[in-house]
Amino acid sequence: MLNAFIANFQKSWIEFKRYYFNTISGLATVLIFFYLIFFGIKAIGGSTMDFGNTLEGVIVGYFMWLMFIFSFQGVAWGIIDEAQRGTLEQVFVSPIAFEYQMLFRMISDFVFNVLFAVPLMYFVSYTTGKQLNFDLPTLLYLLVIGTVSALGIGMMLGGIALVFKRISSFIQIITFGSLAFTMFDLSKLWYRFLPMSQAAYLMRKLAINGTKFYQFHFLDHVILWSVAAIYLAAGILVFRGFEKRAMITGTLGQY
Amino acid sequence: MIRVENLVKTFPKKGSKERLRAVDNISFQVREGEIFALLGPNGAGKTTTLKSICGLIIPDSGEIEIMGISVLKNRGRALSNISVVLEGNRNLYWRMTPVENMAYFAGIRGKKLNRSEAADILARLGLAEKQNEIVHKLSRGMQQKTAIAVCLAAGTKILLLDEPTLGLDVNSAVEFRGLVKDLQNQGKTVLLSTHDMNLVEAVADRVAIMNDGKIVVCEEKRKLIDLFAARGYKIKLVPNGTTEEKLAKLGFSEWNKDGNVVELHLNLSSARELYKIMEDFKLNQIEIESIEKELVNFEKIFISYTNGSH
Ligand SMILES: Nc1ncnc2c1ncn2[C@@H]1O[C@H](COP(=O)(O)OP(=O)(O)OP(=O)(O)O)[C@@H](O)[C@H]1O
Ligand SMILES: [Mg+2]
Repeated sequence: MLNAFIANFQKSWIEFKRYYFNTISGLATVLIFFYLIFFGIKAIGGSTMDFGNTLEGVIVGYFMWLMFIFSFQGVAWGIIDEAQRGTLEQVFVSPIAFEYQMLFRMISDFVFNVLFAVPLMYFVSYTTGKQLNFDLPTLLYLLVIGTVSALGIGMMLGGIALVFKRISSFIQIITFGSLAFTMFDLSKLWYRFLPMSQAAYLMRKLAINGTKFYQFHFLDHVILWSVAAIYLAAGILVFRGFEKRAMITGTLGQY
Repeated sequence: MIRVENLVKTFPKKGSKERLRAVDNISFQVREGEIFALLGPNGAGKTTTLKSICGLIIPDSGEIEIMGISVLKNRGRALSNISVVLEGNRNLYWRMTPVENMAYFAGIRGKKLNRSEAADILARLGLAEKQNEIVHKLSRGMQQKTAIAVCLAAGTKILLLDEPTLGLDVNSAVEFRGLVKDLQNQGKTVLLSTHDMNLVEAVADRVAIMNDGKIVVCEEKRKLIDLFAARGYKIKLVPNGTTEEKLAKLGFSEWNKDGNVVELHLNLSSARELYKIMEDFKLNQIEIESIEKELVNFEKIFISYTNGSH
C-alpha cells in the first residue's frame, strides 16, 4: 500500500516537473481569468450584486473554485485520458484495487494543487491590494475537507466516463456551474450542502473576519464534514456501480 | 497455473436481440513453465478470454483460477500472480521513461523496484541505452520490449501477452520470438494470444486454436504438427497410356495431370499405408517418379481447423 502511494506520488511529481510549461501557461490563464472577474466586479460597483459581498470574498471564492475544479477534473479527466491511451486497463490489473490508486493520486494531486493555489492566492491579494487574513491551519483544514467533496464528484464523473465516454461537455457544465456555489455567499442553508460551498463560506469568514477554525460554530463543522462524507461515499458507490458495468460490457479500455 | 472452465462471455449485438457469443464455453489449462498459445483469426475471442483471466471483463459464466485462486471471487489475490501486456505500446505512459514506467507499475502493485533489478531487466532486453528516453520516442519494437520489462519488473510468475508481435517488422518479430523463449528460460509461464503462425511455431509448447469463440483443438504443438506431417504426401508418377486406368482400378479418384506427370496427393494415416500403395503400384507397373512429404506448416493446420474440415 505504501509503495502504491509512493508510486502514484512520484508519477504526479514527474508529470508536474516535466510539464511545468503547461503548469505555467495554466497559471497565466487562471490569473487572467481572475483579473477579468475581479476588475469587472470592481467596475460595476462591487456589491451591487451579492458577489461574496466584498472583493475579498471574490478572491477567496475564486480560489476555492480553482481547488474544486482542479480536484474533480483531475480525477475525471485522468480516467478519460487513460482509457483513451490504454493505460487504464494496466492500472486495473493491479492486485491493489483501482479505488485506492485513485485515492492516492487524488492526495498527490491535492498536494501539488495546494502548492500551486495558495501562493497564487497570496500573490493575487498582494497585487489587488486586498489584505487577507490567513491562518494557515484553518486554511488547510478547510481546503482538505472541502476538497474531499470535489473528489467524490470526480469519482462519480470518472465512473460515468468509464461507461458513457462522451461526458466532456457535462464536465464543462459542472465546472462553470460550480463557480456559482463557491463564489456566491449563499444565505439559504441547504445551498451549503452543495459540494465545496460550505468550505468556501467558512473560508470567506476566515479571510474577511479572521475567524479561526476553533471559532466556527459547531454546526458549521458538522455541515462541512457531512458534506465531505456524503459526496465521497456517493462518489465511491457510483464509481463502483459504473466500474462493474464497464467490466460487464468490456469497455474499460476501449474508447 | 491457469485454469479456465466453461468460460462464456456474450456481448449485445448491434441491431439485433441476439447476443454475440464472443467466448463460447471454453475450457483449458496452462501448466507451470509452459508457453501456451491461443491462436485464432480476428474476432475469435482471444482478447476477451485474456481480459477475463486478468479480471478486466466479468464473464457471463464459468470459472477462472490463477494458481488455484478464483479471479471472480478473490480478484486481488489472484491478480498478484499475473501481469499482462494487452496492447503492447498502448499500455505504457508515453511521457515517462522505461524505468519510470517499470517503477510505477511495480509500485502500484505494492512492490518497490530496486535499481539493480531494473538495470538487470533492461540489460536483458537490450533496453539499457534507452532507459532514460521517454517511451514516446522509442521505436515500436522498443516499446513492446518496454511493456515486457514492465511485466518483469512486477515479478509475477505468469505473463499474459495479447498479440505480442502485432505491428512489429520482420526483424523485431524474429527478435521478439527469442525474447519470449527467454521468458520461459527464466521460469515464467506464458499465455499468449496471436494470429502470427511463425510465433506459435517458434515458441509455443501447446496451442489452442480458437474460432468463433470456441476452442476447436487444444494440443501440444509438436503433436499437432506431427499429426499432419504424417499424412500429407505428394506422389509423382511417370505415366504411360494405361496409368490413369490402373489408378482408377486401384480405387483412386483424384489426380492432377500436368503434361508428362501425374500427381497424386494422398492423406494417409500411417507410413504403412504408404508402403502398401508403393507395392500396389509396383504390381501394376505404375512407375513412381518421386514421393515427397508434403510440407505442413502451421498455416495449413490452422486453416484446416478453422474451416471446420475436422
Ligand atoms: N466490448 C465489446 N462489446 C461488444 N463486442 C465485443 C466487445 N469486445 C469484443 N467484442 C466482439 O467479440 C468478438 C471477439 O472479440 P475479441 O477481441 O476477443 O477477438 P480477438 O480474437 O482478440 O480478435 P483480434 O484478433 O481482432 O484481436 C468480436 O466479434 C468482437 O467484435
Ligand atoms: Mg484481440
